[in-house]
Amino acid sequence: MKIKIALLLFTLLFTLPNVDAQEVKFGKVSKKELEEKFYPQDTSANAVILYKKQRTYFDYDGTEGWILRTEVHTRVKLYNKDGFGFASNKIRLYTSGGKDEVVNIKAYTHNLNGNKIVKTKLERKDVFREETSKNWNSKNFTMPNLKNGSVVEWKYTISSPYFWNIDDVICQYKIPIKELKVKLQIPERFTFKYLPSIYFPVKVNTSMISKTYNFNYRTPEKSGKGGISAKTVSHNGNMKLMENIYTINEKNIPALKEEPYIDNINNYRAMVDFEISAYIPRTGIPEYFNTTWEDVTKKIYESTYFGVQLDKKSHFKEDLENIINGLTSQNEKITAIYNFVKSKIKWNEVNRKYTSKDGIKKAYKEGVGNVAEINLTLVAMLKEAGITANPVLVSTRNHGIPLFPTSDGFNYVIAGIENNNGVILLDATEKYSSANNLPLRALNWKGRLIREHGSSTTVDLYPKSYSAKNVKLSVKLDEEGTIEGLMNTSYSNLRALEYRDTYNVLSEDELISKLEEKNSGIEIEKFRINNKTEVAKPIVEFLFFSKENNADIIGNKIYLSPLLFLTTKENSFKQEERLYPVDFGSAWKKDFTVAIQIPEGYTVESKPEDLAVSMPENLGSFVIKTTVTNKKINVLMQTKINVAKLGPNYYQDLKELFKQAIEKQQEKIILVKTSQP
Amino acid sequence: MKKIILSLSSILLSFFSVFSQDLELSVLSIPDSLKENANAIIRLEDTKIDISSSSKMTIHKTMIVTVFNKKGDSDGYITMYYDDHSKIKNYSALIYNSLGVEIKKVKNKEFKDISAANGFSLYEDNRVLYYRHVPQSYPYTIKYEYEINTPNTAFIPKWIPINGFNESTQKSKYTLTYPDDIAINFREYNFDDYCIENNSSENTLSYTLKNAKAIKYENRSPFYLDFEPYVQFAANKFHLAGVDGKAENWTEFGNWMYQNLLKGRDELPEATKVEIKNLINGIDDPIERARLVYDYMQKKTRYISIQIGIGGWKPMLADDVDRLGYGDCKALTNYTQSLLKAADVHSYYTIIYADTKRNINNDLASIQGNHAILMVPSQKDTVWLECTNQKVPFGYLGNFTDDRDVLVVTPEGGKILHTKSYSDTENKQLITGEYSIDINGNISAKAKIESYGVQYDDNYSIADMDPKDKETYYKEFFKNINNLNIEGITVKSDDKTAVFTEDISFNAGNYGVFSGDRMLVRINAFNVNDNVPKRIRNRKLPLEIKYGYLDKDEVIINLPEKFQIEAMANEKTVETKFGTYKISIEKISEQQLKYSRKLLIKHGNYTANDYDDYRKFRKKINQLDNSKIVLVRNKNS
Repeated sequence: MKIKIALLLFTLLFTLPNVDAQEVKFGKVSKKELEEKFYPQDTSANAVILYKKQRTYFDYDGTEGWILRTEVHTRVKLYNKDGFGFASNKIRLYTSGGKDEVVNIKAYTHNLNGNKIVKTKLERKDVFREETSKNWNSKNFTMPNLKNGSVVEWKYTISSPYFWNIDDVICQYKIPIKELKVKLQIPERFTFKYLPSIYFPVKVNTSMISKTYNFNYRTPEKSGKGGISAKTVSHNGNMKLMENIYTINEKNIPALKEEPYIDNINNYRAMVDFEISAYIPRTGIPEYFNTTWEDVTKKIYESTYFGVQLDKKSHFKEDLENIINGLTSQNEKITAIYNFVKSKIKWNEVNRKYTSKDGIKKAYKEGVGNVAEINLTLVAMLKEAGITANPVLVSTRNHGIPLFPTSDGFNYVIAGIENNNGVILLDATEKYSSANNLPLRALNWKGRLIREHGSSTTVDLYPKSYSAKNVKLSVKLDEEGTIEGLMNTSYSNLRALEYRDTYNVLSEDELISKLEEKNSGIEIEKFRINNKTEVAKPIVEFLFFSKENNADIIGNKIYLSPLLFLTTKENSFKQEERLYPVDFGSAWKKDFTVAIQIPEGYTVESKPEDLAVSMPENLGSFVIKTTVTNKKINVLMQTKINVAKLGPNYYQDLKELFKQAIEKQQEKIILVKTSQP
Repeated sequence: MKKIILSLSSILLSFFSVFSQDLELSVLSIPDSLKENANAIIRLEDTKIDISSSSKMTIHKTMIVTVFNKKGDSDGYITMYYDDHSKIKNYSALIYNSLGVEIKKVKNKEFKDISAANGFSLYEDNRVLYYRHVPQSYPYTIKYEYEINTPNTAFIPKWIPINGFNESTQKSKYTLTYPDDIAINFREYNFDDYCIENNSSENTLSYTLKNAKAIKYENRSPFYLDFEPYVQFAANKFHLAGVDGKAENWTEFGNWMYQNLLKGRDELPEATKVEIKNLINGIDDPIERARLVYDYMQKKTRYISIQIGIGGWKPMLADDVDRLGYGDCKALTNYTQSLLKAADVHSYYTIIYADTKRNINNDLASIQGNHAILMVPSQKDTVWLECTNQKVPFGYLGNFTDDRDVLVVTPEGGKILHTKSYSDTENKQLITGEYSIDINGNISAKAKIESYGVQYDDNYSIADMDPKDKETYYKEFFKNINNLNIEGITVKSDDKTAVFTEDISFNAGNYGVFSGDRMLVRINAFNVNDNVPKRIRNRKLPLEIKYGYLDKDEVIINLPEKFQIEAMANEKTVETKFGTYKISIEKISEQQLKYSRKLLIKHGNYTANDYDDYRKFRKKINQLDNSKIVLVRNKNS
């Protein structure tokens, strides 16, 4: 019986949407929509997309060929002024060579005036064109006459000659979507694959129908004398093609909200990626596009601006001979070439996997280049020196994690050297990067190493070694609570890269000032930095300093924190809940060794108990240990996170680890005065 | 055979180009004093401005900049602004290495042409042509030149020989030539400490500054144009995108603005006028009328950036704003003025420098400012209306526009007035509250925070945060308390009086820290001030405290049972020229204390030497804000 009811409920639930499945008509907004004061599913929403409909289809034009058209209809409810930003629109159009165009922009603002619905039309003259840059234009508009509670809607059609490129179907925004309807109609001449986002899977339904495509074309008129006249004749043609239909019908998609410690919020956005995999032109001979990562890599490799570049050697041959002259070991050669490329070609901050059309030769000559130009030069030079180096394709953090095997999935390239112990990764765009210590931008997802004969393999890009900070503090405490002493701090791997990147540009004055600020206002008397540019070694900071007010002096007792001014006071993980993974870029650890010499005439009355806690599955740990010997307090503390990225299911464990670690650090050591010094 | 000859000649060519060395450009010729604190040095800035008629101006610029390090790269960036009315001609750039050897000629296609809009702008007719060099090594030198032809003589570029910080100037020369029928008004600022050559003659103004050292940036210093030299110019007959003008003083200038930019742009639809008439029906006081109209405008409009119209100076028609419900600062100010006119209330369009506190230079009538607000005259205090903010109370100016000279445009001409300035004690924050500590050291607390003056400005936007962001905000506000668990948040903005009130209740574990039988409790739970300025050795620039304020806290503390007070701080007062800090703890009963705290910071200009004392004062405050009381568990419990 129970099962039956469950079944009945099940079918009811699934048939219910059909009952109110009325087509939302453009320009017809209900009073209910206008009267709504807040969004019941998310009362914090300042605005909500009530309805978004997109239809993407193909047209055939006798002269222009295939044209991809996308019709969009969006209806947005604005609950209050903070939502008004969602009534502005910037339609970006690609205009290099063939031009994207937007036509038939129609838009209305609906307001409730007493009991009456009042419509305000967006006038043509209030739509502006902006020439953003060489290849991009945009049409901008913002809706007129907004009030708290307004419902705005617009529709337009974008026509694009770039028919092989269907934009990702975005299914989630900063504000919730109440109803989303997407339909793509793709003629069988084109085979598109699709893939919904992993974190928020969107359901895609598929079907097939037959459709007749009509088109006009003109041919020159034949003149009587057999020549060709200037006149042309119009023809009508049609073709019957099967069409693949893809539909998405989603309801109540929540807002996408940023969280701290996130790699790229777009990785968690609900969307569907459509990629072309084959095209049958009129010749009937199908043209295949990438279908697997193997295909993609192979195709990239075959490009004039990629693999072909690796054969260009004449321009660096002489330099190379000089660099490796006299070097015998592989490692020496690698280091020499790597350092040479770093200083020879500076990065113009352009992330690309392909060289510009002038190739690596010009970048070499000019000393400036994009990522591909620099790192393909590195690969080419390593190879020429007899080292088995190959390019490794990467997608940067900002670029996100691709859903599909497409060449667009990669936007960056580094060098990889395969040996018995694995792969050595090198990126010469970043001055302070070192072997297997890539800049944060490249630490994303997986890389793909391509060998000469086209075979490829995935490569783990994340550093194998801890991003580490190691502090050794040795101070003398006086009765007033002032300390004086030495602090040596070393930074390794990713931490070192970041440190060098941030601090090496500072003058000595600025650096001192920065270090004083960073360390709760210590006053530095002397300082030295070791290994400033020797990237293979940790960078080490030596400080001789003093600092006042390190303890509470109450009565004849001194209360002090074991870590003194290095005490962590705040938990960075304040959020109650977590939706997306916490990303650190690398596994990391911090070690503190503190030695405090206590003032004459005092003895240690009490000290905090030692603590060792760890997260499940050895994901992270915290240890603190305080020992007292005669006039000295020794503290050892270590915090360690053993992974670069933590799933949201471990968030509470992480938060708890930090909570305990921080609470423990607040506990005091009590010194009591026992005699006059 | 031919092939070989060709390649030979190209080798020769490149041979010669390699050796085109300009010793003047070598870094060896830079005096050491100019390298100190400098990320870059202007070797030469030569600006030649030729005004051939009131609507024809040619700006010719030659710049040679040597960049020493990465932070100086931006000093070598080439940025040329233009619009529909102006044209950039003959631009070129060359790069030299440290020896003065030419290493690159920048191609025209390497200059990028983009819209000047950043962020969402509905329309922007200003464009930027720019080039940013990627250096192979440091130092390097960039030499560039360009010419801009423009009819807009209303904007004669200023001469600012030292532009900002950490950049020295070897030579900066400015020459302005103009015809007989035009007079140039000009004002020289901050010349005292510099040796500036003046080579002006008939129909020519010319200045040269040589060997000016770089100024190191130091925090809490005044706005750089308050101490660095510059000259500002204005032609008595000028042109602005299609409109001619003539002005010798603010009266004439204001008149011109009124006649050409504002007049006749205030027509409203009849329906709106009727609506306004109904709205103010029965109210006689013009300020009360203005209050209602302002509220009407705030509900009806919003701010959108639109840079259109003559040089971005003519507001959109009031009629269009009425229809669209949006506009930029000029449009919304003009619209509000039109609405007030319909309500028979006088008001005046006002030009101001918004954000960084900066005056309209009142001794030179010229186009200045970057924002518009509205002034409503009143028998009591003048009322200033910010029309781009749809949330701020009527007549309230925050630190975006307070306390500065502004140009008020009336039909009778322009006038310089000063906007509302708040006294130190008007910028007030009052905290009253109560907290209890239990025997385990857990805290549960209730606090009421009231903010006035510019402190209102710092806080009122909290009201519009969504609940999650509010929670994050208060966890950050009380960051000195860990594991904070918010129980209740009620915030209220009183639009009549501009008072912002926050009622917060929370609890947190382990606020009291145990050491054996003792518990340490930081007495100041709500308002720990950790604003300690960083140490600056040999400070050169004066200290400026831009805003003074007064914080007053009164908090009742309930102590846990079975504990008694072992030690607690005495009353403390710290008196300095920067302000006063005072705390006291009063024992109400064995189990209850009253904590009072008062912090007064006085705004003002202080000397560079005062900085260390100010820092000491701030350190002391931070130390005393962290004072603790020691509780000890009763022996018999």
